[in-house]
Amino acid sequence: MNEAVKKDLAEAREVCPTTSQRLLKEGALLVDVREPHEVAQVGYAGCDVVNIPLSQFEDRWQEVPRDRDVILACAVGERSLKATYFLMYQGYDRVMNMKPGIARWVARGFPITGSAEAAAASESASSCCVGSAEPTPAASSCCGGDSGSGTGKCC
Amino acid sequence: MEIKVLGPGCAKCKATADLITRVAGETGKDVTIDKVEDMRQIVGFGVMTTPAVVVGDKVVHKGSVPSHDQVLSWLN
Repeated sequence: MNEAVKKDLAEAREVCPTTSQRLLKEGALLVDVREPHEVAQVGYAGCDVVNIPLSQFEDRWQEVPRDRDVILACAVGERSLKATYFLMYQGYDRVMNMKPGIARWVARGFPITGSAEAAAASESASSCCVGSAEPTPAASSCCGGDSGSGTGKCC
Repeated sequence: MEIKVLGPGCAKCKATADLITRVAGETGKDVTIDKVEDMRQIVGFGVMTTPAVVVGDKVVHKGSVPSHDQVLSWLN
C-alpha cells in the first residue's frame, strides 16, 4: 500500500476555546474537521475558519497552511486531535488541538453560525477548565501548554 | 513474523486481528500480533483510517477488514 515511515510524534499541544479566541485574533486559522451536516447546524464564526471534514482529511490536508498557527477543532476535541497528529506526522509544527469543542465555544458566548441549541448536542462531560482542584497536566494543558506565549489563566 | 493491527479497539479491529490469527493458524506461520490502540501511535504510521495493518515497516492495508487472500499474501 505505502511505505510507512513510523514517527514518534510529540504530544499535541491543546488549547481551550478562550485561548483559541486570542490566537485567532492574532492571526491563527481555525480548521473545523466536523462533517458538513454538523457545520450546517452550528459553526464557528468570527474568525478565519475553513471546514475540512475528517472523512476528507487524508485527501485535503495539504490545504492547511504551514506558515501560520492552525487550531483544529471539532465537537469535543477528539476528531480534531487525530487531525492534529496527522498534520504533525506530515511535518506541520504550528498546529494545536482545541479541546473542548463547539459546546464550550458557544457557552463562552463566542461567535457562531446556526443554532446555539445544536451545540448542546455535542456537549461533552469532559472539562479542562472548570473547578478542578487537580492541575491539568502540562502536556494536555488547556491554556496554552508550553507555547511560551504567556497565556496565564484562560478560563 | 510480527504484524501490527492499528485501531482503537473497535469490532473491525478485532475482526482483523482474529482473521490474521486464523489464517496464520491455517498456514502454520508463526505470527505475533501487536495491537496498537493509542491514537498518537496509530497516526504515527501516517494512518487516519482504521483498522490498518503493518507488516514489517510497511502499512499494507488500511480502512477496512482485509480479505482472507490479502492476509494470505502478507504471510507468504
